[in-house]
Amino acid sequence: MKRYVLLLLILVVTNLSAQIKVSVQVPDAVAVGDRFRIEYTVNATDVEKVTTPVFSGFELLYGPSTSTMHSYQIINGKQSSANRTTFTYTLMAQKAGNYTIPGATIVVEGKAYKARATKLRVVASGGSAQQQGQRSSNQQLSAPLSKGGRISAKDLFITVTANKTKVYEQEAILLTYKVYTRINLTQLSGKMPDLKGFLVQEVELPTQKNFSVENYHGEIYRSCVWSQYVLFPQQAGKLKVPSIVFDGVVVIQDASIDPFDAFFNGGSGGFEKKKSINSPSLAIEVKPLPTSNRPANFSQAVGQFTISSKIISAQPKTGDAMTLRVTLSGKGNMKLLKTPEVKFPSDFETYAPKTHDQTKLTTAGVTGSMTFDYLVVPRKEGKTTIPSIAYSYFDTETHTYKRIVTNPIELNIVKGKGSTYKGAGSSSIDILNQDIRYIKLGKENLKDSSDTLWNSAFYWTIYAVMLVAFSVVSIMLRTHIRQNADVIRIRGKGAMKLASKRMKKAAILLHEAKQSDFYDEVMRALIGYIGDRFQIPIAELSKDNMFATLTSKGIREELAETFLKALTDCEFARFAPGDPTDTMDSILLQATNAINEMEQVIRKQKK
Amino acid sequence: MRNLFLSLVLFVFALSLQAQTKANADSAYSKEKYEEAAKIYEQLLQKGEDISIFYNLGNAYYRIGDIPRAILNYEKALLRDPGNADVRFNLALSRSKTIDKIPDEGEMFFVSWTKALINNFSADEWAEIALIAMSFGLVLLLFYLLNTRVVVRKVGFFSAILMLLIVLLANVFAKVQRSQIENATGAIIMNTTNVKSTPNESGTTLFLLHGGTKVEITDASMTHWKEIALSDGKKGWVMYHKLEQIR
Repeated sequence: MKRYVLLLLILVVTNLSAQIKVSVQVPDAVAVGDRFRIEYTVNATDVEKVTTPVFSGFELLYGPSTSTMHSYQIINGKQSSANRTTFTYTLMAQKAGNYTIPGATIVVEGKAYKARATKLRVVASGGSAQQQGQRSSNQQLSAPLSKGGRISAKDLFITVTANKTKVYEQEAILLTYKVYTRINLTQLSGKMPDLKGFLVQEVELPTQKNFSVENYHGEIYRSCVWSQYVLFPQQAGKLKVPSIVFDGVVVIQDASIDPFDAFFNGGSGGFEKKKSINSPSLAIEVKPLPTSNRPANFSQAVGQFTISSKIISAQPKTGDAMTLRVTLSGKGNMKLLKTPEVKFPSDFETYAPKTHDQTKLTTAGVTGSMTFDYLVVPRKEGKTTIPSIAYSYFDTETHTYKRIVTNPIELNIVKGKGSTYKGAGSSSIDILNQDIRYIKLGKENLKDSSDTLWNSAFYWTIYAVMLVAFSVVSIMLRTHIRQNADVIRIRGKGAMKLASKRMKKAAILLHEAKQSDFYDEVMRALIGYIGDRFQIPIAELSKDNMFATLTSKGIREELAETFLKALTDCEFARFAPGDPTDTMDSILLQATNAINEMEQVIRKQKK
Repeated sequence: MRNLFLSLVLFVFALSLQAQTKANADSAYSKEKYEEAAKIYEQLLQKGEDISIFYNLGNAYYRIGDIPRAILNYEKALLRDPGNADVRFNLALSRSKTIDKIPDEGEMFFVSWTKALINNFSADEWAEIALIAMSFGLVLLLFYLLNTRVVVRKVGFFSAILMLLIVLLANVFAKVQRSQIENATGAIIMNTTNVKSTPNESGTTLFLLHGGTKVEITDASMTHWKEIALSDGKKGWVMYHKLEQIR
C-alpha cells in the first residue's frame, strides 16, 4: 500500500515538473529585406513532431533547425533538471506591413502544444539600404561608421514627446525620450535637470535597453525608449521642458586599420568617440484649475480617485485603540494628496493619522492607493457613528470637480478592560473638549501696580489704630483687670513666707527685749498667715469668726483650737506678770508650732 | 440742515473721543468681536492693571486663536491673584493647546504645599486676613484680661496667641506674594524660536521652543538676548522680541 502511495507521489511530482510550455521569440520589427529568426522553445526533449506554420509574406530561408538542451543540477541537496528544445526558423521579410506569425504546433508525448501567435512589424527599408536580403538587421544597423568619424545629426538623435501638451495643473504628463541611431552607440547618459514648475518623477525602465528597428521619416533606425518621466505641473502658465544634453559614446571604424590586424592585436578595429546629443525642448501649456464650482474643501487632488473606509480592528472597546483605514485609490497626483478630514465623535481620543504610500509610477501616471490609518481611542461605550468622509478632486477626464464620499460607519462600542472616560490619566486629554470660562463682567477697577493694601501706610495705620484702641480699652478697665489679676494665688503661696519672716523679726525683738513690739509682730504673723492663706481680708478677721472660718475651710477642730490658743495666749501673755523673757520664749515656740502644723495640714489637703 | 450735519459730525467726533470702558469691551466680546474686545482691553491696561481685565483679555486672545497671548495674560492675572480658580482653569486649557509639554521639575512636597498655601490668596487678601486676625486676636486678649472664669481666660489666651501667629504668617505670605510680583522672572515664548547656546545668532541651536511655552528669565542683563531656563532645567539664550515677560 505504502509503495503505491510513493509511486503516486512520484508521478504527481514528475507530472508537475513536466508542465509543458511553448514560448516564442520574434523581433518587434524588421526592415524589408532583413533576415531574422523565429525561435520556438519547448521545455521538453522528447519532441515527437513539429508542425511548421505557414509564414505568409516571408521567405523561409532555413529551418527548422533543432537544438536540444538538457541540464541537471543539485543545489544544496535539491536536484532539479531542465530540458529544452528550440526550433529556429530563419526568415526574410519581403514587404512592409504588420504581420501575424502563427504559432508552431509541437507534439510532446502524444500531446500537441501550440505556440501563441505573435505580431511583427516590417518597415520599409531606407534609401541607403541597397543590398537587400544580404544583411542581417544587426549587421546593418550597428555597422560602425567608417566615413572619417563624422557623426551627423541624422545618424544619432533623440526625440522628446509628451502624451499631452495642454493640461490642467497637477495633471500628469508622460514625457518620453526616444533615441534613434544608425551607428554603433555603446553608451548614453542624460540627466533630467530640475524643472521649474513641475514635480518630476522618473519611470523605472529596464536597464537593459532593447533596441528595435523603426522606420523614421523614411530611414531605418534602431530605436529605443531611453527614459520616461511623469511630470506634474505645479503652476499654471506656459511651461517649458528644456533641452537635455545626453552624453553618448559611439564606436567608429577606422578604415586604415586592417580588420585582421586589429583582431589579432586585440582591438576591434574601431575607436570610441564621445558625442553629446541635445534633445529638443518642449513647450507645455498648463491651464489653471477652474475656479467656478470649486468646492470649498477642495483637496488639490487631480486625477481620478475612489475613496473607501473601514474599521480594521476587531470589536471596538472603550480605552482600546481602534484603527479607521481610509483608502484613496486611483490615478493622478497621488503623492500630493491631502489627508482626508475625519470628523470623529467628540468623545474619541484621536491621534495623527499614518499614511501608507502604495502607489507606483507608471507611464499612465502615479497609480495605486494611499491609505490613511487613523488611530482613535473611544472613551465612551454605546452606539456611535463615524460620519461619512468627503473628498473632492478635479477629474481630468471630464474636467469637472467631483466629490466622493464614504459610507458612514456605525459603531457599537463595548466596555473595554482599559481605563474609562474618567480615568484617562493625562489631564490634557480630559480637558480637550472643554471650553474656557466666560469673561468677568462688571466695572473695571484699574489700579497702579504699586497700589496695594499690603505694606501701604493705610495698612500699618489700621494696625496702629487697633493697638491704640486696645490700649485705651485695657487702661479704662484697669481696676477690673487688676482685680482679676491672679494675686490670690500669689498671696496664698506667700503666706508661709511672710509668716516666717515675721517670726524671725519677732525673735530679734525678743533678744532686744522689746516686749510690746514682739507681741505685735507675733500677732500679725498669726493673723496675717490665716488671712493670706484663706484669702480673708484682715479687716474681717476676728478671733470669734476665725474658728468658724478655719473649720469651714476643712481644718480639724483640734488644730483650729491649737491655733486659736496660740493667738489668745499671745494676747494674754502681753499683759501677764512674770519673767517676760520666759513667757516670750514659750509664746514664740507655741506660735511657730501652730503655723507649722497648720501649713503641713494645708499642704496635705492640697495634695 | 447744516446744523444737523454739524451736530452729527460733532456727535461722531465725541463718540470717537469717548474713552473706551471695560463694559464696551465686554459687550464686544459677547458679540464675538474678539479682536475689538482685545484692543479695548489692551488700551485699558495701559492706564492701570486689573486682574479681571487680564483674564478677559486672555479669553479674547484665546477666542482669536492667539494662544501664546492668551497664556501671557492669564499668567499675568495669576501672578496677581494666584488663587483665582477661573484663571487657573482657562490657563490649564490654553496650555493644553500648546506644542511644548515640559514636565515640571519635582519639588519636595512641603515646598509645593507651602507654595500652594501662599498662592491660595493674593497679597492684598493676605493683608486682609492679617487685619481680621489681628482684630480677633486683640479682642481675645481682652477676654483673657477681663474674664474671671479660668476656662474662658485659657481659651482666650491661646486663641489670641494663635491669632497673632496668623497675623505674622499672613504678613510674611503677603511679602512673599509681593516679591513674586516685583521680582517676576516668568516669560512666555511668543513665536517659534531656536534656543541658542550663546547670545548670538551664530550660536549652536540647542532646542526649539514653540509659542505659549513658559520660561524663566535667568539673565536679563543684555538688551537683545535673554538667558532663559525651562521648568525641566534646560537653559539657553533667546532673542528678546521672541518672548514677553509676565509682569
